[in-house]
Amino acid sequence: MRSSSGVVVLENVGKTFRMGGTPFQPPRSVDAVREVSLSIDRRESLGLVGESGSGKTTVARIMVGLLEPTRGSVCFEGRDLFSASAGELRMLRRHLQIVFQDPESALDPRQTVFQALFEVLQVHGLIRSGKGREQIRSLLKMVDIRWEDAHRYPHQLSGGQCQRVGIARALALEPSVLVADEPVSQLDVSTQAQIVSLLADLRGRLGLTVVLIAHDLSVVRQVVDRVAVMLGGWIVEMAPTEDLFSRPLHPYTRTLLEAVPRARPFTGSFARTASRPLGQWSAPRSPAACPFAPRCPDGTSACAARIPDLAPADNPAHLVRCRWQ
Amino acid sequence: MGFGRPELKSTHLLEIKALTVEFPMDQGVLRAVDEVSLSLARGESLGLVGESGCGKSVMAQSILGLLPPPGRVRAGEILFDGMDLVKLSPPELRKVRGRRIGIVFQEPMRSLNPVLRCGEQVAEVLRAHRGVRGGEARAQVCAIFEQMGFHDGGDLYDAYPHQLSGGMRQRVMIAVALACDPCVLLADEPTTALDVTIQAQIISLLARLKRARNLSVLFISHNLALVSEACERVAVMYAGRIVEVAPVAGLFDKPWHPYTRALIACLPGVDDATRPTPIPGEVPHPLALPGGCRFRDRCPEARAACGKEPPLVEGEAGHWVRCWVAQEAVGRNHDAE
Repeated sequence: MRSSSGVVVLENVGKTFRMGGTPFQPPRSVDAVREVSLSIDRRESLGLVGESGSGKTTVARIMVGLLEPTRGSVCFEGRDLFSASAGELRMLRRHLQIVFQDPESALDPRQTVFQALFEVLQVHGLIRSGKGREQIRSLLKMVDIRWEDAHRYPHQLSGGQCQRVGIARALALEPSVLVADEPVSQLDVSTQAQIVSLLADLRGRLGLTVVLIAHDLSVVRQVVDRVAVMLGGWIVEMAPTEDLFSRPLHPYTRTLLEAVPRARPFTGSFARTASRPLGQWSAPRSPAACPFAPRCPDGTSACAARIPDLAPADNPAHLVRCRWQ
Repeated sequence: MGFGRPELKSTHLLEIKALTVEFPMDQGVLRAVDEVSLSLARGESLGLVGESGCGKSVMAQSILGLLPPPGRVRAGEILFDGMDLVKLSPPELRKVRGRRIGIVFQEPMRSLNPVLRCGEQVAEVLRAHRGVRGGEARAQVCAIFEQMGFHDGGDLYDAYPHQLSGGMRQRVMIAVALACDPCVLLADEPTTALDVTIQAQIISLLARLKRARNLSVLFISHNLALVSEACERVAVMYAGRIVEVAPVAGLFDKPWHPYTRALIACLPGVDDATRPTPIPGEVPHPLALPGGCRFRDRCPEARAACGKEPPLVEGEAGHWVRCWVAQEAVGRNHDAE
């Protein structure tokens, strides 16, 4: 593991959700995050990539203090988030902001853009007297929203504009860490490019630490320093961006890379390996198994028995959790 | 499935001629689709690409008479097998919809009935159009599921939509659309809500089914890269108008319209580290379109001539473009040759 000098440090974090327990259903538990250790440096930008159900959103919520982990600890600038008192946690959370996936449902439909931003500033007592308007104007300018749109409601804005407002709201508290949870998955490709470059620019301008979550590796490629690939609640590969894209080591990372649609002319052949897991929607698995084993071209019975540790591969910064590496 | 399709009368399976769709609103008449002409040959897959609000979904809805009120087809024809779908009565249209033209919608969660088992939802189509009932329907549905790559069709038949992942639900939607062996499939953003890996599976499933059944597919998407993988020909739509139509190879080799070039430039590349270039500005509101070329305000090459709207002109065989600048450049190239 990296040294724990990072601004955000997750140590052996795990989260188990208990579900069911109705008269019709016995309670069961779901391990959304199995064991994640992660240290994010100041001003670093980290991409967290994986399919639905890989646990990336749960990690995001734990990271910003919205969800308490079942196991492990989360530190922000050396202070443990979940052993802090409620008041302290509230103070710390100001520095850890999150942008949610569905921009329209993340905003209150009955609040204008101005009201939404004003409320955040007010709750945290950040309105400088008589300056509220100016503060909001400069926030909107930062995310390229015209002042004329400040008095509009979310339904009057496009998806991309809503997402910008979500970003402005997160930035209102002048956080040092910004976690963007699938900020572009609901947007058009043309708008995705706008939002991703806005996040990259803001990071440079404000010296933010950014965690960008996506299911599509191509979204993070150009804007993050390091990528962690998640599957089944584990980080299965983590490496500096160039290493990961030039030498993807985990077969799951390769599957994700192959799945990205390329702008290339129709060839009539669809020789893509991603179509393997058809029909495995209810495959039962041992909890300690490598979650990729059933889909893996090289999977063995050893993989189905136990997932290996996250270990350095060809260089100390390139970590992978696969017995073939 | 051994039903056999009725013989068709024309080479173009589906021909849309100068279709105009309007939504009368309080603030004025919103023209979502403006004189759009497109044709789809048998066994062909055509991609329809554009940003949100360009009218691409309205196109699909108007083909099947599913326009949400107050939308209505103002002018134009939609010819399918010698019939004008616009003029059909609702009962006549019901015989076409689902039976000869299938549709897959964007969000499988909202399109499937949450209280019916998946298999029953496919069986319902067979019952309505073919009168297949009971055990026979179940057997046929299981056969369709197995054809789509499921190991155990029976398990899936008895599952409720909430028990399935997004990708599985979308496969059930495709099964619903293809149950009656239609010859045209409209796929309206079939993969937008899905993970990239599942998206790749759905695209290759659609491609396999298309080949196996000689389907014609109208594939609607905002992602040009996805369309280039799934289609042979692409139509680019902007603010209710078709701005460029070309075979996929031609479109990527020689994107003539500045909007097409912008769509290509904003694709994130996974194989290199160049940052995608966003398209400046926003799509104009359909009630406040700029006069002349509708892309004018966002176009880096706009000039005075763009104040007048250009026509859609065929610059090369099968490659059409609606842009004064591009047409001039293509004309110059032809003169030089």
